[in-house]
Amino acid sequence: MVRHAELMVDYCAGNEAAFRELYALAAPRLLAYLICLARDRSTAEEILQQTFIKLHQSRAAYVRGADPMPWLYTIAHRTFLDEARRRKRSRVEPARTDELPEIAVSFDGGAANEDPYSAEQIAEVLAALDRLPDNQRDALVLTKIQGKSIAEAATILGTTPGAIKLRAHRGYVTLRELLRSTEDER
Amino acid sequence: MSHDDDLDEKLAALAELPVPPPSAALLGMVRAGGAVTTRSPWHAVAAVVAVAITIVVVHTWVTSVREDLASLPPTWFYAVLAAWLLAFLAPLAVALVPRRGSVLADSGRAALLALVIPAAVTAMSIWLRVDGPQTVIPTPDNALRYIASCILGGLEMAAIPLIISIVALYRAALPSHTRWLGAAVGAANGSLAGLMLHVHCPIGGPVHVAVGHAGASIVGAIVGAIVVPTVRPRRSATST
Repeated sequence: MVRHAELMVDYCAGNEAAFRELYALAAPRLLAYLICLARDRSTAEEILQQTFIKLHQSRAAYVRGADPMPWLYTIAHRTFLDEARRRKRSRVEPARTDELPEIAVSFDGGAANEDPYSAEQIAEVLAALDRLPDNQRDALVLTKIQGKSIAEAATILGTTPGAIKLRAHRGYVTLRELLRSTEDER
Repeated sequence: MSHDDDLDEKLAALAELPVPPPSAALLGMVRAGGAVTTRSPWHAVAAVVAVAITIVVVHTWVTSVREDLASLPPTWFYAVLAAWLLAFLAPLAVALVPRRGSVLADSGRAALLALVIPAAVTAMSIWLRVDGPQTVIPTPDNALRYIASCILGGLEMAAIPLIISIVALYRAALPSHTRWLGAAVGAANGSLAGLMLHVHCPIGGPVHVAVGHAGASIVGAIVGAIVVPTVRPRRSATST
């Protein structure tokens, strides 16, 4: 995360290359997070762009030397909520399975590590995530998918670490039950 | 492979997705943006404290200190003054200054202080109170009037520092839920009101000091918790 902080300092100093590098590092994880929230890839991509526009507009609020990632997640989260409110519903669109890539690619367009899970399986997980209560889904996505620590997730969502731990655990148990019942139905 | 391992891997797979490049509009903004001066959270705290001290000093100079001061133990007076000062500074600093390495204020710690500080100053006002021979003890007839007068007068004096604190909060990068940060800032400035009342108000008695003086901290916390998330400007650092 030191690199993120260095890039953010250079970006605030007016360095466009630093912004591009920061985008390349941060955007993949933010997009994954937004897809889990929005359940629609094009909406998530739109919110991703809005997130970076907001970051640009509020970059003077950055504190030198700090890790900008939890802040970026918070901006993304709030932008999603604003967008959901604007569309007058809590979730934006149901995901279409064919929108998910068969093989993941990295930011520069090259092939990433081969994914052992099909788009259909990932869509199943997304559909199950969609059925979780909002607070459990947010906590689970940040801790289990985004790899954030309990403390980081608490900072991003503006709550206590204890609450995040409880919500993530409950969400995980519920998600496991939902996926089991989906498998049993087949 | 256990079911849990399988689920963990499925969840991890969600984080590997292709990403579109930055839009032309975004890149245009970045190119046109140029350099900015980044925020220094301690400067915001210093600004609020400077205004608060100025108000306390000017008000004391204009109205003089409490009439029963000569009959009170100096050690107790200054110890309680220091406690009120701490009750002002601690929640203010927690709400405005992020932990080292973080851009966002710690709303968990802010929540803790927003609850603990009003409770602590109330307890202090009940159990560590000293009434001197010249201290006015309210009667049932005037108790409510004195309490209302102290809470309103105290909060009136703390209004400007409270507004500056809230503006500083909006200029900072805020987490998703700002209610506890607002409560902490409100409790801090309510404690500032309590500090000023400790310096100026010659009325004693456990009920008056606990409700009329420490109550300002409780009222401040409630006001901050309501105002900050409700009137958050559209272009604050997080929700621009």
